[in-house]
Amino acid sequence: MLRLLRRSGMATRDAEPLTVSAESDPPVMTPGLARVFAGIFQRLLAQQRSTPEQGETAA
Amino acid sequence: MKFAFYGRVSTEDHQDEQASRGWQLRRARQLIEPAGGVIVAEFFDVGHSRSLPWHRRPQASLLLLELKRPSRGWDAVVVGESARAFYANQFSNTFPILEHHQIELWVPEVGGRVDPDSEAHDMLMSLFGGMSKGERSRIKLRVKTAMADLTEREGRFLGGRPPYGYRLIDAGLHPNPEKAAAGIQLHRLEPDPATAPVVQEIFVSYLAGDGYRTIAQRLTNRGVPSPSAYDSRRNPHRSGRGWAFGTVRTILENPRYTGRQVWGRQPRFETLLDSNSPQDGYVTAQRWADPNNWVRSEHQAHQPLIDDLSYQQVQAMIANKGADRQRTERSPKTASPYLMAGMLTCDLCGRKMSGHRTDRRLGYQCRIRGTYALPADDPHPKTVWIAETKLVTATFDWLDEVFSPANRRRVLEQIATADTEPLPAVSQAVSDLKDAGQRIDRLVTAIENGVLAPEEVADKLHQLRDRKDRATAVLVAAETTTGQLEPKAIADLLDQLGGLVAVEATLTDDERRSVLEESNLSIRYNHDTRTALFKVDLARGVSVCVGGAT
Repeated sequence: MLRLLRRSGMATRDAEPLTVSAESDPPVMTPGLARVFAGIFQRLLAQQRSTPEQGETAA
Repeated sequence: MKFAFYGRVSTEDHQDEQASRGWQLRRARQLIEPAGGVIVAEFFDVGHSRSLPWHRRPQASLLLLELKRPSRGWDAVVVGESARAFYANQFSNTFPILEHHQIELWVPEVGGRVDPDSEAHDMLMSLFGGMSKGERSRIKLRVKTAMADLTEREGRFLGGRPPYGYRLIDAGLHPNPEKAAAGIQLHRLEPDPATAPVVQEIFVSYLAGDGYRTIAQRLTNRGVPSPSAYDSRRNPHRSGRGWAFGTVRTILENPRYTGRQVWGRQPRFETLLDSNSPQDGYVTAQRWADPNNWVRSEHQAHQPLIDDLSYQQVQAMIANKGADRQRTERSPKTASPYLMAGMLTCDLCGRKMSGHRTDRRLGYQCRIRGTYALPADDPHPKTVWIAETKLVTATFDWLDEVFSPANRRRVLEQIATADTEPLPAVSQAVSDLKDAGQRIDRLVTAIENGVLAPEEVADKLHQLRDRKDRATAVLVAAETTTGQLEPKAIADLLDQLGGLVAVEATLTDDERRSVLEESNLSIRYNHDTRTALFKVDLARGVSVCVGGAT
C-alpha cells in the first residue's frame, strides 16, 4: 500500500503540513456556533470542577 | 390571547410569497381579533409542499419545537386557511400534540377554536384534509396526462434544455390564446451545426467498437468542447475541461436523437419515507422508467441525428456490457462517517472533493481524473487527497482566531449568553437532535436520488427517529434550567488548555461535527501548494438555523 501511495505521490504530499491561506476569511461567531461552544465549555467546566475532587481523594 | 400564526405557500405555480402571506395573515387576524386575539409569532413555510408533514416543514417543525417551551410567549395557533396547513390526515397527527401542550388551534373553516371534544370539528378538519389532498392529486393527474398526450400526439417540446446536438427554435405562437396574446412561443428542436456532427460521431464510434473512455479522450484531445463547456453559461458549476465518460453514455442512450419527442424517461413519483411510519409522509424520487413505458411521439417531431436501426443497435450493445449489469447490484449504504463532507472544493479544478478512505484513514479526494478525459497536458495531479484529521486541526486552528484578544470579550459574552442548556446531557441532546436530523436528511436525499430504496433504510430511519425523540425529551425536561456560563471561566479554561486546538482533542465526535457544521465554512484545497483557503458562507448558516421565511 505504501509503495502504491509513494508511486502516486500521495505519501510524500501527505507528510507535508497543511497551510491555511493568508487570503482566508476570518471566522465568524454565529449564534449557532456560540450555542455549540456554550455546550462544549459547559461540559469541559463541569468536568474540570469534578477533577480536583478526585485529585484530593488521590492525595 | 396571544397567537402564533402558521402559513405556507408553494412556489411551484409561481405564487407571490408576500401576497399569499398577506392574505393568510389577514384572514387569521379577522378570525382572532374579535375575540381579543393578537399574533405575536409567525411561522411561514415557503416552497414546501402541503404533502410534507409538519415535522418535515422547516417553519412548522420550528413551531412544534417552540410550543414545547413554556417561555414561548403564545397559547394558541391560528392558520389562514386549513388546506394550507393540513393535508390528508395531517390534522389528526398534529392536533393531539397541540392539545397535549394545551395550545388551542383556530381555523377559519370552523369559525374559531377547534374543539377537541367536538365530533363535528374532527369530521370537518378530516374533510378539509381530504379535499386538500384531492385538489393536489387532480392537478398532478391533469398535468401529467396532458403532457403525455401532447408528446404522443403533437410531439410538442415541453420544456427543459435542448439535448446536446440540438438548439431551440420558435415554432409559432402558443395555442392557448392567453399565452399567445402574451407573445409566448412554442419551441422545436433543430440540429445545432456545431454540435450535431459530434453526436453523430459518438454513435458511429461506439458502433465501431470504441468505449466511452476512448471516445471521451478522443474528443478531449481534439479540443471539442464538452456539453458543459459548449453551454458554459448554464453550467457554471462544471469546469468544462474535458469530456466526462458518463456524458458519452448519456448521449448514446438519448432516444430524442432519432427525431422523436420522448417524455417520461425519468418520472418523479412519491414513495413513503418510511414504510413503517406513514405519518412521516412521502418523498419525491426520480427513477428511470422502463423504456417500454416511455411516451414517444407518433411522428418525428424534429430532424433526427441518428437512424432508428443504429440507435437500437447501440442500446443492445450497452445492455450487453458486463459492467452495466453489475451496476444494479449496489450494497446498502451506511451513514457518512465524514465530518466535512460537502465543504471541500479542489482548487485545481473547482470540483467538489468527495470522502475517500485510504489505508483506513478518512480523507477527501478529487475524482476528476476518474470521471473525465482530461487533455494530455492538463496539470491536474492524478491523485489529490487530504487527510480529514489535518483539515479538522487546521479548521480549529483557524477558528481559534475568533477568540483573538480583540474579539475575546465580545465572543465570550456571546457564548455565555447563548441559548443553551447547562447540563452535558443537554448539550449532548442538542448534538443528537441535529445529528439525527441530518442523518435523516441524508437518507431522504439518497432515497430521492434513487440510491437507496425506502425499504432498505426503514429500520435505520426508525432508530434515528427514536434518537431524535429521546433528545427532544431531554431538551424539554431541561427547559426550566438556565445557563451558568461565565465569560471569565471560559477564558481561564481556554488559557489553561492552550487554545482551541487543544479543546478540539477533548471533543466528542458529535461536538466536533457540530462545530464544523456551524462554522459555515467552505474550503478550497490546493494540492500543489498544500494550502487551504477558508471562506465563510453565512447564508448557509442562516438557512439552517432559522429558515428563510422569517
